Amino acid sequence: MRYADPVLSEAPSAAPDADLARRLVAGDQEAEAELFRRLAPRVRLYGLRHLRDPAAADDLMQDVMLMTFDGLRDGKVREPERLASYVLGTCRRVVAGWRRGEQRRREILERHGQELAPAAAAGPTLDLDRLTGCLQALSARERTVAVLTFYAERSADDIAGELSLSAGNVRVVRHRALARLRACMEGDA
Amino acid sequence: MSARCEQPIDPADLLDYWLTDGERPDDDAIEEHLLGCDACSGRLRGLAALGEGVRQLARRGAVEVVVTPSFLEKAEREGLRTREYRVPAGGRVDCTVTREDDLLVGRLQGDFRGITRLDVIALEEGRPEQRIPDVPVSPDAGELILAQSMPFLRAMGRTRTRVRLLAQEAGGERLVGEYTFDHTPTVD
Repeated sequence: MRYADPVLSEAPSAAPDADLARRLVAGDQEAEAELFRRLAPRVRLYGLRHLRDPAAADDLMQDVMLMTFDGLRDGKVREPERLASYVLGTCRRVVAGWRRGEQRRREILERHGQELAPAAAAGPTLDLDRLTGCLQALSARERTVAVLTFYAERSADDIAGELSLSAGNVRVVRHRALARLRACMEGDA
Repeated sequence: MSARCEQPIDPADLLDYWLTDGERPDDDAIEEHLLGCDACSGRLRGLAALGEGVRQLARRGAVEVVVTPSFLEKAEREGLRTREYRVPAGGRVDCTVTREDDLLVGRLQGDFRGITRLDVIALEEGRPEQRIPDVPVSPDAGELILAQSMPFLRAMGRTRTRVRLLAQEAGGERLVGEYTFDHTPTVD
């Protein structure tokens, strides 16, 4: 894994996750709420990456958060500093279990999908009118690569094959396109 | 490490992680980092939202963009209705767009072998020339597939548009092909 320059989160908070976990075990409800606010979107993201389904990702988030908080209270997380590792293991077990019981999961989601989608952890919404302008402002190559990446779901190698470019070149164009889109959406361009 | 990340994941690695299906060798380290880091998971959420936005706009035909056969195959799999006009170099076509159409593409036939840079020029009566520089095209493709902006097309009246493909070469510009589109709005 490579690393970039240090970055700040959008909502910095002083207490590390491990401190919040210890306070949760001691019965601090504010710490529990803060830990949920932090962990739930991260777990949902894991779910989106592995399940490619927002409703299933919401369901995963619910299950994993319940299991994580129960695990903390039951003393199963021996080192709160390694909470992320415990959450990752829980995510994997739940997803593996679902894959074994796919049909049952679908039935549950069909019945309860709406109630299980907590608004607080939903992903950010975008101003699509603004994004249209930002997409239009990209170069023709950047726009094509962005659309083939996210709509056609083509890999850099696939796009390179279709456009007779190198995969490295496609990655560079894709990276530049996303950076420009992000800057444009944030009002920097 | 919720407030500040001293070792944020490289943006290219983050994107590769998000776009790749299935397990990869680096996933353990990336996922454990993401589950413990507000800064990096926030960046990935932003990236995912941006990707979802691009996907939605592509489905709506919101922007003019050069596409490939894989784009059209995806649209077909999604049940979108794509109106296509295949035009040979020097050719002319009568065209329109209806309420049932989700996407509209022009498939401009040409010989692109040996071309390293291709510009698209659109000429409409009463409007300034519009140039799209350096469009992506495979020399072996035999066609340039140009998806049109559906909101723009739907608002367009009866119009003749001439599209020229110009290869940029050491000696200057060379006309690869000219394509004439006679557009008539459909009354729904």
